[in-house]
Order: sequence, then C-alpha cells, then structure tokens
Amino acid sequence: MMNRRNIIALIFFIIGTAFLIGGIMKGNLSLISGFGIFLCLDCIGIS
Amino acid sequence: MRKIIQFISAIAMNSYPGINAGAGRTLYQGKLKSLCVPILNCYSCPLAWGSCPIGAFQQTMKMGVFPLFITGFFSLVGVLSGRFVCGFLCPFGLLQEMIYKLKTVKFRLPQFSRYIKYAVLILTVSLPFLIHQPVFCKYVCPAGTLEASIWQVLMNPALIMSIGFFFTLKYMMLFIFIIGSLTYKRFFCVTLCPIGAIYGLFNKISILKMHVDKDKCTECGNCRINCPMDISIYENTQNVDCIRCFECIKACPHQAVSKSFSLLLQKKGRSSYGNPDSVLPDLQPRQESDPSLS
Repeated sequence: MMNRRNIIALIFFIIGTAFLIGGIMKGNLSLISGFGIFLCLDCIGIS
Repeated sequence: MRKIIQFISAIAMNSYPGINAGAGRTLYQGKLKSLCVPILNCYSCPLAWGSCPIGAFQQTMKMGVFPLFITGFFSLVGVLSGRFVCGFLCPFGLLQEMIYKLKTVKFRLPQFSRYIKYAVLILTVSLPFLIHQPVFCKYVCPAGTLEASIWQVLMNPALIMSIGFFFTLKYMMLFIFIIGSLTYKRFFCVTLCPIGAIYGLFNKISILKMHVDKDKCTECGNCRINCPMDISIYENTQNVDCIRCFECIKACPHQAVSKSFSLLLQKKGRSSYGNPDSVLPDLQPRQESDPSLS
C-alpha cells in the first residue's frame, strides 16, 4: 500500500527518467562535455 | 564509516592525474565528463572526472537549451535519496565538517539564513537564461575557487594576466566560506548551496526516510548536538535540511531515530513526528463515551 507522498515520489521518478532519456536523445551530454572544452573560465573567476 | 565513504567518494571523483598530464592538458576531457556527479564538484578541477550538475545546468541554460538531462538527474537522485548524497558523497561537505572541527568560537546560524539558499537557487537557474552568464559559478561558488582556480592559475601562468575583479570576488567568497565553516556547522550547505536546496525539496517525498519513535524520544537534544546541519530531527523527520547522514541514529541514547528505504508504509506500531503521512491510524479500540456523563 502506498501513501500520497510515495505516489508523488513515483510520479517524480517517472518524469525524472523521461527527462533523463529525453536529455540524452536531445544531445544534452555533448553540451555538458563541451562547455569548457579546455577550461571553464567562469569557474575559476576569469572571464 | 561515513567519513570513510566521504573520503573514498572525494578521491573517486577527483583522481584524474591532470596535474601531470602535460602543458595545455589540465582537464580530463573524456566521455565521463559528459556525465554529472550528484554533488558540487567543479568541472574545472584538474583532478575531476565528471561535471558539476549545477555548473552544467547553468551552462546549458546559458546556451538557451533547457537542461532535460540534468533536471531528470536531479529528480531521480532526489526521489531516491533526498539529501543523502550531501551527507555521504559531497567532498565539499566533508571539507566543511573538517574545518568545523578546528577549535574556534562556535555559533548557531539564525533560522532565516536557511532560506537564503532558495533565493540563490532561483537566481542560479533563471539568470543564466536571462543574462547568459553562469552566475553561481562566476560570482559565488567557493568550490570552483578552491578546487579549480588556485591550481589552474598555478599551472597556467598565462591566466595570471587575465586576473581581474571577478577573480578577487571569488577569493573573497572563499575567505567568507572558510571563516563561516570555522564558526558554523556546514555553513555553505545550510545557507548557499543550490544543489542542497534542490535535493532538500525532495526530502519530503524521497524513498529514503527518517523516523522518530515518539514513544521513545525524550527530546533530549542529542540529535541536534551531533547533527552536521544543526537540526532537531524529532521536530520534523523530513526536514529539508536533513542530509541523511544518520548521525542522529548513532547519537540517540533511546534508539528513537531510525531510517527506512521503501515505497511502502512503515510497520505497525511505529510513528514519527512531523510526518503525518507515515503515522498509521491508532489500532487500539476506541473507548466508548460514558453515557452517565451526558
């Protein structure tokens, strides 16, 4: 038996999984790896 | 045991030999960099294997693309564990706990300071899209300064020529962070961390739950004394600031605090403060009202 909070958790789990797969299919991973090809200058305080 | 896991996690996420990789190759740029670690760990750290989720979120938003992957990633980690990753995996949390152990004067943070991180979160997720700048990484993040900036500047002398206002600002933030961590428990996590703010919102629904048996709890306050986030678990078991470190379970002299990892309801006879959904209906037969009194 599941209570209300667990049902919300399950909904978030399903949405999260869908977003994760959608993100991979949309090419989010290449965006992440490519944002600082050599160095993320914002991270080190130089820009 | 938790400290060992924290150390292993810190080393596992930061063990790329970037420092020895040769000139111009100060970052790992392989396939793992496409994936996010679940906690605050700077992309530009010369030892980092993965990307920082909040940095990646901002950089993707900056490009005008909604970060589906990272949003999904946050949801999954949050639903499964809440802020568990803050308590067991975050190297920056470990650092703060170590700094706090140094013998200095200690204070408690005022309650309102716990809400600052939500303002930081809103600005962190919205401003990159509006002004096309990763504002948290650029103006605030002390993890970037500590893990990346110092070492990258030392390894790339050419960067020294580009040092300016933002560089000074970042080092001022690092200084504030160190002073704060000396005097307050997990100063950055409590007041500023946007990743902790996201996972904290999931604490109320996460599968990993904390429970307090109110029949055993005497509200002695041992849990708060030992809590790295300075919260009383008996007041609210699903507190947004609870990092699921389980220190309260160890500290409780009455074994009133417990945890569970389940989608199902608790076993009979257990009850908890602050979580009405987890309280089972009273199974004792109700006493009939005495008709002679009416």
